[in-house]
Amino acid sequence: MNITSAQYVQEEGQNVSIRATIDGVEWGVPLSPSNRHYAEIMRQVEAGELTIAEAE
Amino acid sequence: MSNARELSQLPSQTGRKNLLYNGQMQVVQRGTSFTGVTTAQYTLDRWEWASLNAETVTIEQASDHPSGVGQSLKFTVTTADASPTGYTVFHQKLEGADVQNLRYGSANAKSVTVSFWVKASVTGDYSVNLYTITATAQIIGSVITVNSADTWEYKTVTFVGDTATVIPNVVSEGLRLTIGLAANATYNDTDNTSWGAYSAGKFLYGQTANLVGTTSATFQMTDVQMEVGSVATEFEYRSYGEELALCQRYYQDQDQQSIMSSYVSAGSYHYASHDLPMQMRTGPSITITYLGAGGSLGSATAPTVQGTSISGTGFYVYKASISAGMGYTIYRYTTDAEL
Repeated sequence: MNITSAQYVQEEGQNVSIRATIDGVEWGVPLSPSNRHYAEIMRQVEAGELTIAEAE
Repeated sequence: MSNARELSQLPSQTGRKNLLYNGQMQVVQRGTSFTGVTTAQYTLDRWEWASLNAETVTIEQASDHPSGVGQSLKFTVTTADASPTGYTVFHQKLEGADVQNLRYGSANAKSVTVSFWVKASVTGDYSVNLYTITATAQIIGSVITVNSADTWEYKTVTFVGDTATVIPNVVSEGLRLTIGLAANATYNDTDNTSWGAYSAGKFLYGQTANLVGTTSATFQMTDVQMEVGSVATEFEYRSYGEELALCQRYYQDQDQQSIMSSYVSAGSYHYASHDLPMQMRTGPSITITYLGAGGSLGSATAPTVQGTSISGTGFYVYKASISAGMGYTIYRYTTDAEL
C-alpha cells in the first residue's frame, strides 16, 4: 500500500477522519482500527515512514 | 420410501459450502484488467495480489474456463524478475467470525479442502497454504503440481484443522488462503506441512515454480473453493447477484451518479446521506469523484464526507454553498472495507 500523503480532517475541533492518498487515489479514512487503510497508516506512522499532517 | 432414500443421499453439509468469495472470478467491481502492477493490490473482487519481487504484471478477468464457458483470473508477467528475492502470491482473507465453524483451537477442529482449476505456462510445484491471524500466527501448507504447461488441470489440497489455536471471533481477518507463484529460498526453506507458528521460511514451503522469472509467463485459476471436510466436491455455483452482494461487504463501487440538489442560503451547508446497498464489514474508506456542479453549489469540488457519520451502513456528505438559491453537485463514490 503506497501512501503518499495523510492529513487529519476536523469537525467541531475534533479529528474525525484522515484524508489520505493511497495508491494514487484520495480516500477519506475513518479512525477505525478495523479499517485496513487506517491500520496501515498507523503502522507506517509507528514505523516512522509516514507523518499525518494536522488538519487545516 | 423413495423420498426417504433420496433424503439419505443428500450431502451432509447444507447451505453455502464454499468459504471463499468470488471463486468463479465473475465479480469485477474494480475493473476487468489491471496493467503495470508492481505493488500489492486487490484485483478481481476479494482476490489480492502481493509481491516482494520486482516483476511487473497484468492481472485480468479472462474469458477462459476449463468448461469452455466462464471466467478465470489471469496473471501475466510483463517484465520479469530474473532473480526474485522475495515472494509473489495471490491470497484471499476471511473474517474470523466467518470461520468459527472450523472449530479451530478445539479437539473438534475441522479439515478443509481447497480445490481449483489452474492453467500455467510454468510447470512445477506451487505452494498453497492457510494462515491464521491469531496472537501467534499459525500456518500449514502443501503444494499442487502443474504437470503440463498451458493446460487446465484440477487440483485439490486438504488441510487438517488446527486443534491448538483459536481464531478470534471478530470481523477482522482470521484466516488467509495463499496461492504461491514464486518464492526465494528465504520464503520456502522450512517445512510447513503441519500446523505451527509462522516464520518466513514456512510461507511458501515447497514452491519450486518461478513464474515471475519469465516475461510473458501466465497463471490462471478459477472455480476456487474451500469447503469443510477432506473431500473436494463439485464447485458451488452462485448467481452473479448473490456473489456481488457477498463481495459488497468489502467493496462497493457505485456506478450510478449521485446528485445533491437543494435550495440553500448563502454561506450555509447542504447535506446528503447515502445508505449502502449492503452493510459493509466496518466503516469504509470513501473516495468521491466530482462530476459536475452548478448554481449555489457550483464550486467545482466534490462534497466532503462527514467523518463521524461513516459506518458500515452509510455516511453523510456536505458541501458549502457559494450563494443563495438552487444548486446541485453530481458525483459518484467508492467505499472500501476490505480486510
